[in-house]
Amino acid sequence: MKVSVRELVYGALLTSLAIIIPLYFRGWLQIVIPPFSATLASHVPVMLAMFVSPLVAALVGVGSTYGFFITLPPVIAARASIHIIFGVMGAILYRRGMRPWPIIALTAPVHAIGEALAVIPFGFTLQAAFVTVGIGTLLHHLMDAAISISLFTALVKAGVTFYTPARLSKSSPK
Amino acid sequence: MSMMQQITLGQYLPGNSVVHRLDPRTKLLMAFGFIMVLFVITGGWMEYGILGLAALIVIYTAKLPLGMVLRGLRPILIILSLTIVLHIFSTHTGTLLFRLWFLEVYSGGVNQGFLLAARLVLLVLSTSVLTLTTSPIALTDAIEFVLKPFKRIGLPAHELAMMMTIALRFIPTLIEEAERIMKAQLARGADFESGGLIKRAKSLLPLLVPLFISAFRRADELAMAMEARCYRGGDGRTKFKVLRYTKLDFYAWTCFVAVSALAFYVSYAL
Repeated sequence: MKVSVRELVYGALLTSLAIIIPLYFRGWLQIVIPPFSATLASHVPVMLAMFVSPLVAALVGVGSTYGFFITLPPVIAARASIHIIFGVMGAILYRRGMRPWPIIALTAPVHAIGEALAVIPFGFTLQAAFVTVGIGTLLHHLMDAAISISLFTALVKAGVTFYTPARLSKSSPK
Repeated sequence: MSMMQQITLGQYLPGNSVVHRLDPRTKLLMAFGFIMVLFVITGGWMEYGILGLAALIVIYTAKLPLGMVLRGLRPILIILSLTIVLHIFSTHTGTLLFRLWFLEVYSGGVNQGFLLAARLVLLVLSTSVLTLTTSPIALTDAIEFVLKPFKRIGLPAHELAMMMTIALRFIPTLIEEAERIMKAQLARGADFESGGLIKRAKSLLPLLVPLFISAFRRADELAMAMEARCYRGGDGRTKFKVLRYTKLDFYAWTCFVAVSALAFYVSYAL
């Protein structure tokens, strides 16, 4: 698998942001419904990586998992590992010409079920995993998607170049 | 106090103890091994006692402040309490200890709850010791080594390690940038902290847009600089700091195998 320098560096910078956001915004953007906790905008880097390439989405997913592993408890890293799956899935769908909102709708259940399954080995009961973590993740995914799509539109206007599928090249990203 | 000082990034605590001087590959593989042993053994107090004692000896040898290591358990306190409480009230094995209205507490439930909590504590301790005694860059080198065999199936091990090195290098720069943008927006009257969740999400955009634009610009400049210096991936690339196994690693592996074997013996043979 050949990684271009641009993909490598985009992946690195988005990974940095994926690690920074939950640490930096933890105080005022964290939502805690025990045992679930989430930081608003923490999925934005991986969601933006979907619009660069599937490889960058995978790299950001792996990178953020590793970043959380060295900075936060392993349960957070286990949840972050699911970002690899939904990130790559979203990026592939985008390459095939699907618009961002349907991609978000399709990846949301994968993300929610994945995170619910990921916390079970850490002692979460099935109810806590699927009801609290699962539904919490689903809502968090949708909130972050709204931020990511607004940000994506602003970045495109600012001249940042993302991959544009042929089917979407003459229409708005939404 | 600036945000940068409030954030503990990477939990590495520099030192010169025996554990600090071990090869990062040894520490990484041992941490994985320890987690595997935790999940494979049947899990009784004797086995967890042996593994817990081994973890305490490693913490003592690494000269890590116990308070700091235990602070790593703070984020999982809720999960720990929930695990214990749920098992106490939902497992109905062993002898009935007491009845509280409709809730019955059995000895098996108490035992099971605390055993699972002990497993969780040991799991977090093993990863904490790894990250407290190994610098992020050394850990990244170790991960590159561990991922090398997967190159055959197309996994870009070097690129992944390089990406993590760049990511870790840029964390302080991007935090400073975020802080600068935040102060500038606050001076313009932005309000990030009041209002409901949706209002706070909307208020994030004036911070995130310049932050991401700046990050993408930096990425473009860095990519151009790397290409100008003929960066062409991992093949044939040499390392400034070469990882080497020493006798210390051999002794550490011997101790690890002995402790694991003892835990397995107690678990399956006794």
